[in-house]
Amino acid sequence: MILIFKTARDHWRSYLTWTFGALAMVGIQLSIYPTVRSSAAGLTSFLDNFPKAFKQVFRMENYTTGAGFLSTELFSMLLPLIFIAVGASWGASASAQEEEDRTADILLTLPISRVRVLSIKILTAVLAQIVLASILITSLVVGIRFVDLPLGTTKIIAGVMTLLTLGILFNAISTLLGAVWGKKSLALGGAIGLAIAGFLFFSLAPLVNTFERLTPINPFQWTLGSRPLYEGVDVGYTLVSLVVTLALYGTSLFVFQRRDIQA
Amino acid sequence: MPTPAISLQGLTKYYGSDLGVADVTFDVFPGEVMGFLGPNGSGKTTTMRSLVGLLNISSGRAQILGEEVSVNASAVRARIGYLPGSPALYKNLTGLEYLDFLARMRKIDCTEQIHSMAQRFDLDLGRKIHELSKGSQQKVAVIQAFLHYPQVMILDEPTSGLDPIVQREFSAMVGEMQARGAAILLSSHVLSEVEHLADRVVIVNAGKQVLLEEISRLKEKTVRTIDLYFRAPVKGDVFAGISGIKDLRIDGKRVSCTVVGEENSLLRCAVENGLESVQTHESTLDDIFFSLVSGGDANDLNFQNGA
Repeated sequence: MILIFKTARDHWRSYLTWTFGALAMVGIQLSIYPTVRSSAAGLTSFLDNFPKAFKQVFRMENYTTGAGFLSTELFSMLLPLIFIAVGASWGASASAQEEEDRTADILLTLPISRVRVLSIKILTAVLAQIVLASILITSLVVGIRFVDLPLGTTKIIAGVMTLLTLGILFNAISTLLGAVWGKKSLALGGAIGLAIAGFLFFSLAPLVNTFERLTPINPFQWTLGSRPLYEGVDVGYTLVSLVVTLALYGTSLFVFQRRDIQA
Repeated sequence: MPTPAISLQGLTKYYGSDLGVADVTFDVFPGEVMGFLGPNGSGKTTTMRSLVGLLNISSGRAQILGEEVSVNASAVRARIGYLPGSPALYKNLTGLEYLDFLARMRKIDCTEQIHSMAQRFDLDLGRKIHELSKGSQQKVAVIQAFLHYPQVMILDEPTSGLDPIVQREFSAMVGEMQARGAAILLSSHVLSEVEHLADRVVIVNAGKQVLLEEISRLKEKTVRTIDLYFRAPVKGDVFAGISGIKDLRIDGKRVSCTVVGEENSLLRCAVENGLESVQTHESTLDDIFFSLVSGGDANDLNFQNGA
């Protein structure tokens, strides 16, 4: 328990920043919705003139509906970015920060196994993302009532759960990269690089056949591609994502347990 | 023969194809302080980090309290106090919070020891670690290695950054731990400190162990220079036949020579010939250390190696 508190304490400033940032984005975007709704007819005909490819890339289908608006403005880029950032930074810290700071020299010579140390740090990161997801669900459920945005609570929960799945997946990726390299900046950079590449491949898939063929192995397809705000949680894709996440965590523990801790 | 608390048998560590240390072999027994010397990059830290499980051993064996050391041997670490070289602490915590964190991680209550040791070191536990001087940060690091009264202590450059008064207090604490039966492996650049604290010394150079010897025997076997002052000029032939003396130089009333081993015969002869005073230039551990690490060949040193 003491290590959970220590890990949380290490991150609380950046965590609060990301959380308030997410809440601010939700507030700003929801405040725009009444204007969008009141000019729905005009906007719809305006958007109809956009090239189909453009609308596909930016997920602008059904923009004036509640699900379409939230999907375009929050769930296709801004909120995934926050979950990926939180997940990747906590993951890189979990497996590489203490070695880079050399505080691991004392921590890892205490009578607690490396697997336990890393497991506790991973657990803390997952809990932090669950708390962030809960705050987002609450703010969205309350917020849409104020602006009269038509969307069921279960769809909002499904959308945020999908983001949570994505965030935890990138937490696992950066945890593994940190366990392999022992460098936080490399682990974080690697995970963010993979996220950018994955997002570009996912976004441009409707236009590029090669990218289209890669969608089955693209984490963004398993999450955002399942259109959770319209269709709820896709159990199959979610399971795939969770299995890959668990495999990455397992490999991270295996590697971390065996690596030489550099002075 | 007691069971060694620390036992290294041919410990070898490679970093990829680069040698860290090769074939390091020594034991440290309960209640013994083993000095661990070597120049920078000689393999001291590699050996110590292997012993506490931060590094995987390439070959050989390392045991602590009868258990094989490995990166996964977390149980045995409960009985080890480890102080890394240039220790890094959690800078956003106070000294008290940090030491309390480590005690809780060890699942023991060390409140009394923390305050008592802080008092001995004149350390302000209420200040954030990043606000402390390097010396005070070192005090916190030293305390964390002692606070659970470990049976085995592995201390890498423990007095680095400590002022002489605190160094003296540290020496006293090492003595107390030794009296409690702890086996202590201590590396230091302060050779007089090792000479003062250690029972035996192991010296490594370029990743190889070049010497393992008791400090007292080491000094016995060292070559000493002696200046003898007589009431009247003496002739050289009076010292003929005395074993163990070399480089005899006679300058009127002053006679200089080097002596290996005991010097009783020389002094007896000198007294019989009107000795007025005597001055001995004892080799220190510094001399031995520098001879070893600069000479390269253990057989060509300024002291008699071997048993």
